Amino acid sequence: MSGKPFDHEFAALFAERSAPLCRYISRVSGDPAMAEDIVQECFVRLYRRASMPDDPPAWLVTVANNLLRDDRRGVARRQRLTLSRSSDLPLGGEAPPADAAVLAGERIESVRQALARLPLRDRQLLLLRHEGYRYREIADALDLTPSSVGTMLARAGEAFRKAYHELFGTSS
Amino acid sequence: MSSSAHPADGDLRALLDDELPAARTQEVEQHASACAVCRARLSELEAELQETRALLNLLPAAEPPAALRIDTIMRRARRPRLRWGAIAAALALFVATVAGATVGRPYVQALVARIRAVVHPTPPVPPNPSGRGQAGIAFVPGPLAEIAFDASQATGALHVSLADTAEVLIDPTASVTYRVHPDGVIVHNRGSEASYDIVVPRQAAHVRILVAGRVLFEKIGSAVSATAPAETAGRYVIKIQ
Repeated sequence: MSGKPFDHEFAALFAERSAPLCRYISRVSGDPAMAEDIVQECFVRLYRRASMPDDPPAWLVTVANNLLRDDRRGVARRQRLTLSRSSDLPLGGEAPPADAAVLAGERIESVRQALARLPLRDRQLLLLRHEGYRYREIADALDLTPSSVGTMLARAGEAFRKAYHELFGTSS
Repeated sequence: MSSSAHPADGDLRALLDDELPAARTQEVEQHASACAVCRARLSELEAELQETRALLNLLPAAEPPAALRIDTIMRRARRPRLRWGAIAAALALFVATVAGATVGRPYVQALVARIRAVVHPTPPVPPNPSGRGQAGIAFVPGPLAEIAFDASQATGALHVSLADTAEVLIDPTASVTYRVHPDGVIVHNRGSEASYDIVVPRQAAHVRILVAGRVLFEKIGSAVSATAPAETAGRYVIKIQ
């Protein structure tokens, strides 16, 4: 790496933000391999830009969301993955042993499906906040006003929990 | 305090997230300290927030794999752009030359800008505060790239910056005509008051900018000489005189 100031800024941003961005894209898409590709492409584009945007974390999320949206084949693949995961679950018949591993698997699957039931914007809000993004960064990335983020997060969280309890069969 | 002044859930949630502006934080905290309804609602929201976190934490954390390395990314970013870049730059030059090479001609302008937009699908950039258009000249430099201005100007400046790009870019603040040739561009600026943003690729072997035959800027390899000192690293403001 050269000693240019931009390279140092870039390296610091990569160290700080690549992991949260990767987790966010992985969870919002359900496809870790695609998340890696998208995060790499985001940072390549930033490096080629050769200057920092006003809000680098929000810029990265915006580019990542755009890449995710444009990945039509990725969408089809995610749907297939979701279906195959769902079909692996026990359907009817005798109740499986309620051991901890089975329950844990069912809980995780319920969380996945509850997220999938939400509108994309709600999913993005919840997962960005979960990764520690600030309201201002979320607002910039999703084209919202910062003052609306709290309200939208509260609603998205409520919808998510309601969907989860319906799927997992617990009362909220 | 009356019930109509109860803070909205959005404000309470922002308070829990430590994202409420300071002035509003004080108001909401004062209200909550005197309002059992809001204290109860805050507790509920906090419990819901914890539950959401706990549920989302159940999802396997997809950490960046070892393959996602900064040196890989930087190497990929530094690689010359897709051949599309060279093809389109050549096409832009061809169009500009055949059409008479006139920045001021709207159809050439639009076509060149469009080609540039197609080959550089970069993320949106903030609007240019100077209000200048996107029309300009972009070309991939050969062993020598020469940008020659016909005449000195009473006003206007060259804003020359070095960047990690593949193309020389020339972006004027006002219409001027130009002509391209195998080693660069001649800008017909006599009587113009325009300024010009000029981006020079760091990797370019030899770039020279002349005004009325006088060399004002020259880059040979990594060595740069200019008639004005660098304002910041790799950026020069040179009067067109």
